[in-house]
This record gives sequence, C-alpha cells and structure tokens, in this order.
Amino acid sequence: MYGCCSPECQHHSLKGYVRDGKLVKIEAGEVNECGICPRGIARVEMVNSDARLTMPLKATGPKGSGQFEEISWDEAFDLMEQHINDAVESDGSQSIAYTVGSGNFSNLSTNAWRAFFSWIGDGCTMLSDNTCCAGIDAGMTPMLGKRAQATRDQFVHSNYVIFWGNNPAITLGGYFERFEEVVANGGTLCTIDPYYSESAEKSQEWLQIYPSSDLALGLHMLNTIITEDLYDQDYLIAHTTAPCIIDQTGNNLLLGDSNNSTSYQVYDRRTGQLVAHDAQDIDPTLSLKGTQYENQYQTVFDAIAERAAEVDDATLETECGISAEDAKRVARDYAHAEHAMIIQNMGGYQRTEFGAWATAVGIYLALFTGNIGHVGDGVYDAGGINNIQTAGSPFQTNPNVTQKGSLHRVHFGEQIESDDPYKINMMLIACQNFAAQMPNTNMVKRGLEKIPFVVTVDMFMTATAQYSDLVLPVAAVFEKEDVTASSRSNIISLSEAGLEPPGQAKSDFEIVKELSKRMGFGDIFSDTPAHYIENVLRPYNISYDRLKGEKAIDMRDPNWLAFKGGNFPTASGKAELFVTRWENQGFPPIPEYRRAEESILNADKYPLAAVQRKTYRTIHTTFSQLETLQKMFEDRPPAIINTEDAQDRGIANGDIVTVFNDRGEHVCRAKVNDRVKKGVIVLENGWQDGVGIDGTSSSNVTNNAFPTLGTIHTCNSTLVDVRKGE
Amino acid sequence: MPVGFAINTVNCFGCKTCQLACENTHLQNPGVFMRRVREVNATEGPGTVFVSMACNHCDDPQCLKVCPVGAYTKLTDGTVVQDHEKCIGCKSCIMACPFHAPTFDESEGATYKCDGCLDRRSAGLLPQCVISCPGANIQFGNLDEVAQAYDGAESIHDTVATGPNLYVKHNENLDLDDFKHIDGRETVDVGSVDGWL
Repeated sequence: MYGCCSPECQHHSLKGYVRDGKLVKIEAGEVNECGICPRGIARVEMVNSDARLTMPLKATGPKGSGQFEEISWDEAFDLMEQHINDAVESDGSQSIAYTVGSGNFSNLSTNAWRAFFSWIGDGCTMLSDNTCCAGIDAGMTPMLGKRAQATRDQFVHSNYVIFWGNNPAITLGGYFERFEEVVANGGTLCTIDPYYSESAEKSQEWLQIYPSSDLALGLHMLNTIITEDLYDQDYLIAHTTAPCIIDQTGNNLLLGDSNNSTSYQVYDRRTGQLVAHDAQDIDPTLSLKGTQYENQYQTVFDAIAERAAEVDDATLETECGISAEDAKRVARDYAHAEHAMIIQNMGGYQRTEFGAWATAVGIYLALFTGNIGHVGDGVYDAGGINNIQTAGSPFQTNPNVTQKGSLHRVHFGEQIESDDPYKINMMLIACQNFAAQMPNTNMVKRGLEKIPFVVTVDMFMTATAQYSDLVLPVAAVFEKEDVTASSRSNIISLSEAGLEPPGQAKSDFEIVKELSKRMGFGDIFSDTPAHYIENVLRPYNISYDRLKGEKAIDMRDPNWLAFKGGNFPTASGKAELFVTRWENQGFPPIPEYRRAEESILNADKYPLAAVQRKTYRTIHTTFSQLETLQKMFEDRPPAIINTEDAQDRGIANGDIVTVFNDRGEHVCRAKVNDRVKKGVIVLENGWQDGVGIDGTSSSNVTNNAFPTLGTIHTCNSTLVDVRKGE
Repeated sequence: MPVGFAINTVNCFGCKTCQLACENTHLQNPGVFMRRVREVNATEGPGTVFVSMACNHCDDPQCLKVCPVGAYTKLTDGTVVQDHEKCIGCKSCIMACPFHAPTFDESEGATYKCDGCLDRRSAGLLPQCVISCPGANIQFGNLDEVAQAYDGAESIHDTVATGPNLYVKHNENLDLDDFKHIDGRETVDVGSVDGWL
C-alpha cells in the first residue's frame, strides 16, 4: 500500500506494509527523488497512535480548558450547518473565516475546504499571507517572474554553494548527500547562520552573523563584487534590468512609450542615445557615468551600487558581528566559482523584519555573477511539478466569489479583536496547528477566544483544537485516497486507502462532501475520490488508472533547468532588479540596509536575539506527539544558550529555563554550548503548546510585527531574555 | 573473512533514519533501538560527530560469554545472533558489551540485538540500515569488502579487547580511541557523550 508523506516537506512516496489490518512497517516507495527520513517511517506510530481523535468533540468548558464531550457526526454537522447559516444571515458570508495550512499538501484535502467555502454566499474570508515564505514571495517572485523553480538536480554540479540562513541537512535531508558530493569534487559549502548547525559542520565556510543582519551581509558582498569588478557585465545587460534607467521621481523606470509598461530605456553606446532595452543592435551601458545623462538619470545598476556601498566594512562588522575580510572572501569565492548556487530553501533568515530584501539581495548576487539559468547554479527555494505545470483543480469552485478584505495570519489576534476587516462569527482550521505555529501565541489565542464558533479538523488534540468549540477527527495517510502533485516534489504520487480510520475519523473530503449535501451544494463533491484525482492529473495527461498501477510517477525532464539560459517569465522577459511592487507597500524599489527593530543591536529590556531552528523531529508541529521521535531526539523543547550568556544567568546545561518577553513565555531545557553566537539563543520550531508535552511552543515569544514588506512572519527578529526555572 | 559494518562519520549528518528504519523493520516497540546514532562532541571545535552503531559482531563477543541462558551464538560468517525466545531480560549482555549494543525492551522485559538483518540477507537483500541511509554512509558485508567501502576508513578492532568488526571513516573530530568509552562509562578526555543509559 502506498501513501504520500505530505506535510510541508519533500513529499516522498511511502510504501506501507499491513498485517492483520494494521500498518506495521514503512519503507521508501520505489519512485522518489531521494531517500526518506525518520518522520516518514514514524507514520507507523502516528497512524496507530492511541492519542488519535476518533469522534467529533464538542467543547464543554471555556476555550483552552481541554474540556470536551464526544458527540455524533450528525450532531457535529448540525452544529456546523446552523452556525454557517446563522453567520451568513447576521453578517454575511465574509463573517466566516477559514484557514487551511501546510499540514497536508495532498490535493484533495485543503482544496476540498477551499472549494467548500467558495460556495457559501459569495465566498468566505480566507486568512491571507504565506507565513512560511512570504519573504521569498515578496523578493524572488517580482524579480524573476516566479519562484519555486527547483535546482535540486543541479546541486551536484555546483562548485560553490551558500546555505543562506537555513540548514539543509535537516530541511533537505534526502538531498544533503548531493552537497557532500560537491565537497568530494573539490567544491565549497558555506553556511550563513548564527548557530553551528548540522550543515555548518559539513561546510568549509561558516559566517556566524547576528539574526536579522543577512541584508547587511548580502549588500556588503554585493559591494565587493561591484567594486572589485567581479560582476558579469554581459549577463547583466542581456538578462536583467541593470542597464535600465530610473526616471527622475526615482520610483519608476524611464519609459520610451508611456503606453508600454516595459519600454524601459537604456543608454546605447553606439548612438549615444536612450533607446528601448530590447531594441536590436544596441550596445547598452550599465552605468550612465561619463555620459551626457550622468547628472540627469541613474541606471538601476548605479543605484544598486550606491545602496551596496552604504554597507561599508565598519557597518558590516557592527551589524553582522563578523569580520569584513571573511565576508569579502566568501563574496570573491562565490563570484569566481564556475557554477555557484545559493540555497535559500525558504530559510529562517527571510522570517526577519526585512527578510524580503534579504532574499532579494541574494538574487542580486546570483544575477550579478551570472549564476541563474545554467548547470550547477541558481537560487534554490523549493519547487515541484506543480510549479512547472499547474495541477488541475480537483473541485469546482464558485465563479461568483468576490474578493474579501485581508485577515492576516501574523496579525490575526489584533484584527479579530478589532473586527478588522469584519466581525468574524465562525472560523474553521484544517491541516494546521494555528495556535502553536503562528507568531505571538497569546494574541492568536485571544483571537480564537473571541470568535463564537471555532472548528478544528485534526488527527490529534492540539493547542489549536483546545481553543476550538468543535473538533473533528480526520483520517491519516493510508486511510484515505488522495493524490500529491505539489510544489515540493517532481513525483506525482498516489495515496491509497488501505486502512480503516480509527473510530469515526473521516477524510477532509468526506467531511466536506457530507456538509455540502446538507448545505444543498448539488453534485460538486458527490463523486468518488478517483474522479477528483482524475481532475488533478488532467494537465499531466496521466490517467487515474495509470497512477493506480504505478503508484508514483517521476515527472522530471532531464533537460529542464530553472530559468534556462537566463530567461525570466517577467513582463520584460528580464530579471527585474527594480521592483515597483515594493514601492506600492511604501518601500523603495531597490533594497537598502535597515536594521530590524528587534535586532540585538537595539536590545535593551530583552538582551538576547532568539531564532527558531527546524529539527529532524517534526515538520512544523506534525509528528511532535510521537514517542519514538522524542526518544531519538528531544523529549521537551530545548533552548540553546551560549556558555557566557548562561553563566551570566546562573544557568547550567540541562536546567529547566523560561525564555520570555512581553509577548509571553516559553519553557525549555537549557543546552549550554559554544555553537551559538554570544547574545543569540536558539529555540526549536515545532513543539506543541503544552499539549501532551512538558513545555510550550516557541511562538509564545515570537515577533508578529505588522505590517512588514511582504507581510512577513518575523519570528526570527525576536528579542527575549531567559531565566532559570519555570 | 567475517562480516561487519563500515560507517562514514565524516558525511553522516545525524538524521537517524537508519535508527528508526531498523526499529521499524524489526517491529520493535517505540523507542527500542538496536541501532543508535550517538552524538559525540567533536574533539576540535564546537560540533558534533554522529556515530551510527549497532552490534559490531565482535571476534570475542562478551554477550555470548556472559549470557546465563546461552541465548547468543556466533555463526560461521561471524554474525553474533541472539535466540530471543531464550532471553530472560537480565541485561548482563548489555553491561558486558563495550558498546551497549543489545537493547532492553521495558514493556517486554527482554533484550534484542542486531543480527545484521540475517533474514534479509538470506533473501539476498542488504540490511535495512544500509538501504535506508540517505547518504549511503553505512555498509555491511565481508570485512575485506567493507574495509574498502570508504577511503581511509580504519578498523576499531584493536581499540577494545573484544575485537569489534567495524570500519570507521573519520576526521580530526573523532579519535578511534573514543570508541573505548563511547557511552561515557569512563571518563572521556576528548568529547563527552549525550549519553545513553
């Protein structure tokens, strides 16, 4: 029996073995891009866990009390139907909010809920923002035209790889041996991280910078590349807007034709005239210096060079806490490498106040050195077959949905408290542990407390479920049929329904199907999962029967390269270095260094900068309940504290400590060592908030600054202190 | 030549897939591990060395010597196997083993030990830890073959008296002598251990 491991991860096809109706063993399926990890294998324990929810639960006490009674599905559906109808009648369909998270990327699960809510009135309020990788959405997407163009098959061909603010030993585990092959071939790995991570250990370079200072490092490296003439002039002219001229407002590119938004102007050396960037037989210059336009205009290249030069050696050393020589060496080596790659991998560094710009400057580095679109280069963030050919929509959605106001995930509690943009009467949460994962837990909980009727769909009792009025038990992988054609893997894989769910747990699809029948939504969800899987597969010309036979299909094209040859799907066809979209949010179109408000250099009341690391143990909070993984790794949340910082507070290795700030408290066990930079404390992402574990979620202390460029989740721009004891 | 394992600690990055794949293949109860990935502090710098180890199928296995019910046998290919039906759960083998390789299942009150996936091998398959490692950092086979598995791998055979059959590729962050005290039962001069036991 086959099933896809589909949290926010690499989406491996798993092969499950069943004995006497019980899942007993998991191995990697035959068709995968790389090896599986312990989390996939631990699904044996997860599926069989006694802690699984088996019946709908109705709250009998205040939110957070954990008091529930079992009710029948009939009663649960009645409650939902009644609350939906009441909410629509009193305040319209926008008073119903829903959020579907990253706990399950299989195509029938979250999409069933999305489609369902579209048919209520003229649609409901879906929580906006991408809390995972909003920085890359705001940085990479406008510059390159799209993101998530995977370079995984190119890792081994690279000579110089920068792991920027992420730890691929953990978050790209199955692919990590490809980076080790880079080293075996004589190449270099460079890790940028305040913590000596598993990836730093395997790296030849380690830049131990302060949290939130990645933007300063990136601009300083760019300055080295520009001032030392290490940039690829031909690539910049042919493939980017670097030679394009900024108009005198400084907010837009100069256009040759006001009716053509991409008629960007460049200076043609042959004629000495301003001409369209895409005119034939021209010889554009990167800089206007020395031309008759020198005092009138600036090119994008000149403007970027100015911003980069602002981060001089002294600024770099102050802001990042590393030596300028180290930063210069890495910049030079990256620029000189034949095939150089940056692994952004949706890393934690983008979850800082100016993280969108930090990712954007990483793309500048790649473009300035001509390192996008070829063998062994590029900027890796994520990517799967869905980013190359979009999967089909499994369910019909309501074409008459109207755009609703934004209810931001990172500002949820504050917005709910002030009925902004609407008074919310009901909310549904599926495939997500909202209360434990969103920043600033106490505000999230206040929001959930205010909403009169909260429904959570989950396999386990979670912090979110505890703040709900109704909890619905959902089926696990191997208990429901589904398909995964995602933005994380190039394998399309089938999930088969070979096991009975425990008690009366149902799949998301089955819950939606029953609710839709009651709501009178016609035949939209009335067919079999196989029918909806066919819809997903249609753009790939794959039949359900073929997938049923092969279980998983490798969709990779060996000749495919991300942005092959430096061609970008932007309006101009070039990489857009000047991003007017940022201007619309009140930020200049070229990044400049700005210090995060919660930078360690601004520390006063709370002197430590906290970052949250990913672990081998969980994906977000998925798998966090499992005894096996707790025994193998950690059984309560750790806080990794620098030896001097621990001594200052009388904290010894193994002590129970409380990390705190004005937002809340996070109870952990101290791990005292010198792997973490003095002044920085490393917390772990993915712990349940006090449900079934000793300890709480690190989100209790994390920053939910709002608004930021890209409405980024700024958990890694967080100041805290730590004290001994609970 | 007898059989044994080879591990590449230079490339192991600590995911512990081998550890859980082993547990899961042998249908152990949660947390009963015949293979364990130890996290040893590096001898140089702040880092960790991950050491994936199960039974080293010693030339002179102490488990076999001390077992009061004669549950252990050494096969002609060198594999040290336990007849689990005989085990009375006295833990003598665990204490006697320099690596604490046998593992005690509290819920069953008995001990298990790696047999190099004897049943898989008899079906022509590699041990589960070997096939599950995403970085191919574990090998099993005849010692003359596994000795060649990783460039520069060294045997720990002479580090303890029992003659363990394990080849280790390592760098300056791990001394072979560390294997004498891999579970920190005695003072470890270089590198301490996030201990077992």
